[in-house]
Amino acid sequence: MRHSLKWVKLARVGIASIFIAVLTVAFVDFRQILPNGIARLFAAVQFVPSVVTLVAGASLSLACVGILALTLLFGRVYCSTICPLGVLQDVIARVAAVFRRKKTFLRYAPSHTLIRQIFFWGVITTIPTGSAGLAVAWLDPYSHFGRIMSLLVRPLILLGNNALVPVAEKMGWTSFYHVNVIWGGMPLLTLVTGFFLILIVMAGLRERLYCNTICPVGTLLGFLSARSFFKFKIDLDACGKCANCLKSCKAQCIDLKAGTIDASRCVACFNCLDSCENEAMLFSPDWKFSPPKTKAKDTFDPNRRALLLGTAGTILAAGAWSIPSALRAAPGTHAGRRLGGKFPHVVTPPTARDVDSFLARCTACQLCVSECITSVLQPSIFEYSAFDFLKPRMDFSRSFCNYDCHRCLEVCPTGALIDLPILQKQVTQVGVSRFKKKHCIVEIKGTACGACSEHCPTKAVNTVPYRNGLLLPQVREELCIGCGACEYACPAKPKAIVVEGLEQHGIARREHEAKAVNPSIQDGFPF
Amino acid sequence: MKINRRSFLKQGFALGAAFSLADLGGLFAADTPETASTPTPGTGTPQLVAVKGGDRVTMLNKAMDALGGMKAFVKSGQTVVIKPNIGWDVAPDRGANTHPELVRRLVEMCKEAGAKEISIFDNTCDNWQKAYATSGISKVAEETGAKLIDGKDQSMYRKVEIPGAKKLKSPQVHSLILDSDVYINTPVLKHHSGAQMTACLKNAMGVVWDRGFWHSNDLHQCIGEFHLLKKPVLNVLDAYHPMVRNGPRGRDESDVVLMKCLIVSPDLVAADAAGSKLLGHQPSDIRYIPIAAGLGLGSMDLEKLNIQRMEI
Repeated sequence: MRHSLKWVKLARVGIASIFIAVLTVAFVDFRQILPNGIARLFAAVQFVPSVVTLVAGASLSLACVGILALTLLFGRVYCSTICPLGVLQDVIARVAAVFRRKKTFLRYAPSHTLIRQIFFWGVITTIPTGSAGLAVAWLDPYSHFGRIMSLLVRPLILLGNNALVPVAEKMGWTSFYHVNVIWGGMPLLTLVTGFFLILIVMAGLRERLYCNTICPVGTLLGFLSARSFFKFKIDLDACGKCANCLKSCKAQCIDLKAGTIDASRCVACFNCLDSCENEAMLFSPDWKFSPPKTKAKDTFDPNRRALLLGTAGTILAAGAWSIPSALRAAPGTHAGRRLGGKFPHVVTPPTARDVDSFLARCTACQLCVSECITSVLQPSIFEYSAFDFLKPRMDFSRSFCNYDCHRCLEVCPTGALIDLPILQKQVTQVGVSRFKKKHCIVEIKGTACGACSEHCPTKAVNTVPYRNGLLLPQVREELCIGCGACEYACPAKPKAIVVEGLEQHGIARREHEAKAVNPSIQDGFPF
Repeated sequence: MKINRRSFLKQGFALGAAFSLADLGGLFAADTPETASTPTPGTGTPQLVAVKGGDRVTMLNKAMDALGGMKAFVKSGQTVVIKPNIGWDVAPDRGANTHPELVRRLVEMCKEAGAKEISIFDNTCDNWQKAYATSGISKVAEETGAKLIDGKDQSMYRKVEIPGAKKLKSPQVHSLILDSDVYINTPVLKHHSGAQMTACLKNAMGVVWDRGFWHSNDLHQCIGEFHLLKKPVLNVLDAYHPMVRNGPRGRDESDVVLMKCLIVSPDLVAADAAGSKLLGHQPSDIRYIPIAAGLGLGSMDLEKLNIQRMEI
């Protein structure tokens, strides 16, 4: 049995490679090569998106339950395989090791339990207050990864593509074309870059330190991992104290002197098992709690621990219970600071719900933004509110929503966007166009235009006879879905037609007309 | 999808630059019936061919035969740009884009005439990848070997001066239009909510970068004036099932009417005049038609033209 477990590390590397590769492609895939289903699948099995989906009742996403069960059985295998941010840190550490002049290794370090608890409880306590959005969004490792890829890596890939276009033409490759590179605004880039730098420094110096201090998922799974059925254990009789396991450990959790392993910090990478020449590292069933070593003397008190756990469980349950009601808060709750109020021109992707539910479920992972074919979806800055930084909005100055596309709905892993069938998406009213005659070219210049009605897919915007044989735009609100085609196309400055976002998404009427008749003669030619 | 972006930027840049100030249409004028002395109606090569009752390919074959074949327009070794209307992410049956079978036959004809390189593009309104795919044009390009060019790449547009223009003085025009030897215009006949009708003249809005300028600076005047720069040598107007309302995008198939008609002419003003009649207008009702005629770009007086009408 001892010998047979060496393949596990190889399997771990294989699975981790698949996850990080697929998710990276999902976020940088400007050619839409990856099928929507695959992108969504790999994102939806992430822990936080799955929890949000399940708790919000968006779908029966049992991935998070599976991950908890997996952790209780084998420890934090999630952190070493499925979690893209975890694997990204391994990549960073590998790269850093190449640049390090002196070959060093990380020694055992005691657990930073207090920091872990602060971050973890910080997130948990925000849930019942209904403002979990910010904390969950910013500390979810998957969404964190998504933002790094979408805002920082993707533009570089696009620039690379554009640099290749002339080369490709010289070589006679015909499938390259130029793409528009979109950089997020400065505040977004600064923030995401800042978070990425923290990650780079932590991973470069201390490998999985982030996972074992800041990451709330790491802390939660660590809590279970310390109680898992299978555990790593050093066979002290066989151990030659060569410290190979220590050198291979990313989590600094092997205390060779004491002969113990802090299972709550072990990310189950199986490196130690692979590195041990004496086969003294065991991974075997042992349903016994292994306490973490803290810096202080051994102050572990089982009763206090049990109390804390009980409290945690209760709050967690209460929080989870309260999320759905928070999510289904009556529309208009935030009317003062959101749509219809301070920011009437923020338009969300189609959700067929209210904007508050959308914001509560969205973790700002940028998957929809990355997959949007027209780039109308862009990360918001302060358009919604400071708490909803980076959540997607429709930017009609850049583009408009394609009538026959519902890719954003198909990829969303958290249920913030529901996978509406295309026919339903086409009548989901996210906003309503408002025509401002005083800005219209037809009114101001007295010449023909009609750019707005030209682009309208539902004919909510049509034109009616006006003075001097001109045609003036007219909006029929009940047909308007707020796709922004009219606003985008309007050549007037300021725009003569703008979409006003709806706080509660409505359903537009789909107009059907009788078959058109021939306006000319049936037989022969009219000329 | 075959995409090649810059080949035309390189070849013929000098040629394009040299002629961009002049009417490039005149470059090959000697080969086209356009400048042939106006024949008396009923004799000689017709100035406009209208075909009715067949499928698109048959009608195009008949029309081109009447005009002396594609060889009258495309010489061996020439570069050709075909400009269909591919503005919308909408299926062929909706009549919002030029039908792919018509484009396919045109590409084949150009190939048969010995064209060196055939490119297709449009500065689409909807997302270009989707519009190219849904319209069926990308499949045509793939199967015929024509180059399908991304019309949303600003680096392929060049700013040119249009002498004699009052409004559209210096648009950014796609280099394929400026540099190709032969410019074939193949729009679809449609209702248009802003300009009343779109056909040959208005199709040029898809060869410039900034359409918004046209919309905000006297749309009709700009549509006419653009053709002072360069006129297509051949116009193939798809009126098989014109969209007669809710244009130019249309809402569903109820917006189209089956006419089974095709209009082919080297004179785009004449073709638009005929198209306007098919949609129940008088040519003078569509303001850009008299403007274009007034600029000397063609004739809107269908009575005086040598028109060959064919019913299948």
